[in-house]
Amino acid sequence: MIWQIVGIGVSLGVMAAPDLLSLPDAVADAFHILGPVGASVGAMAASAVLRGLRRLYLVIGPAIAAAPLVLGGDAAAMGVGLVAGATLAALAFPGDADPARLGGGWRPLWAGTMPTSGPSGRADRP
Amino acid sequence: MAEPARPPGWAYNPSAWSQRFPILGLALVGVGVAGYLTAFQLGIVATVWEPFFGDDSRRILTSGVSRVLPIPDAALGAIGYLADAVTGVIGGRDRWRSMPWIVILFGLAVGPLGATSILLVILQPVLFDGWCTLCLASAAISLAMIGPAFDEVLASLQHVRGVQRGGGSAWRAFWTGSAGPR
Repeated sequence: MIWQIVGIGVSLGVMAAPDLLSLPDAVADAFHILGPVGASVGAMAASAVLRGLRRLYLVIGPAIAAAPLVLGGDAAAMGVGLVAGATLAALAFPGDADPARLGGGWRPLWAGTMPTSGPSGRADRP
Repeated sequence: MAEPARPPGWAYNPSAWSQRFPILGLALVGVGVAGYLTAFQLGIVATVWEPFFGDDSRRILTSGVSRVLPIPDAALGAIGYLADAVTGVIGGRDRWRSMPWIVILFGLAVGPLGATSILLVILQPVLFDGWCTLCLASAAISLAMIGPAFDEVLASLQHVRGVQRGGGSAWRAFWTGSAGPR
């Protein structure tokens, strides 16, 4: 979960950067959109059951890094974008949840490797 | 034989009160925050508490966006939090198995509220060039509820799917928790 907390912190930094560094409007709008999305992903992925959502950082991170380059940001915007974007993209990988603690997680819902339940709805195996 | 309270293969019971009380607490705090913001939007209280962003909260809460719906947007949030609290409190510690419908309803109440909160957080700086502290707090509360709520949703979905794979009725399991006659 520590990685998700780092992700939330980095994303909040992206949210705050436009106001702290007086970034150009277009880049500010991009950071004001991508920052909350990143923080939300981190908040949800902090829970083991939704840990897989951290893979979204593979989209959000590069988008944050690219925004100042595409939208014409200054050096400060590019620095923030590259550092925050690269960090978030890296956070897409560590911190796997143990699906064995969650009855196998989401995959058994469609993979067919789940404990079955008897007529009473009671699990057939403990 | 007593029914197991813990879902098969789980290290804990996601429907245990120790798991649900924090979510219920967050929902009630959310009701309080959104209720206060609603009171401001309805003119019941004259000013809104804003420790960091000056006049931003007042501008955001009295904007056209906040009046798009027939009721103030904060009132919608308060109703959403109340729905979270009600659907979170119904059922016992085995409700992941005995009442999957209420668990799924709980997930449906928590999820969209979080999604709406993200959208409203984005709108604050993009449309109004400002921030609203209590709106951000409300969004944080709704996001913090999603993860803890969805472990119970997963357990219920696994149960219904397990009943179906065992030859029982998923429909009946969804509504009653049991598989019914084969």
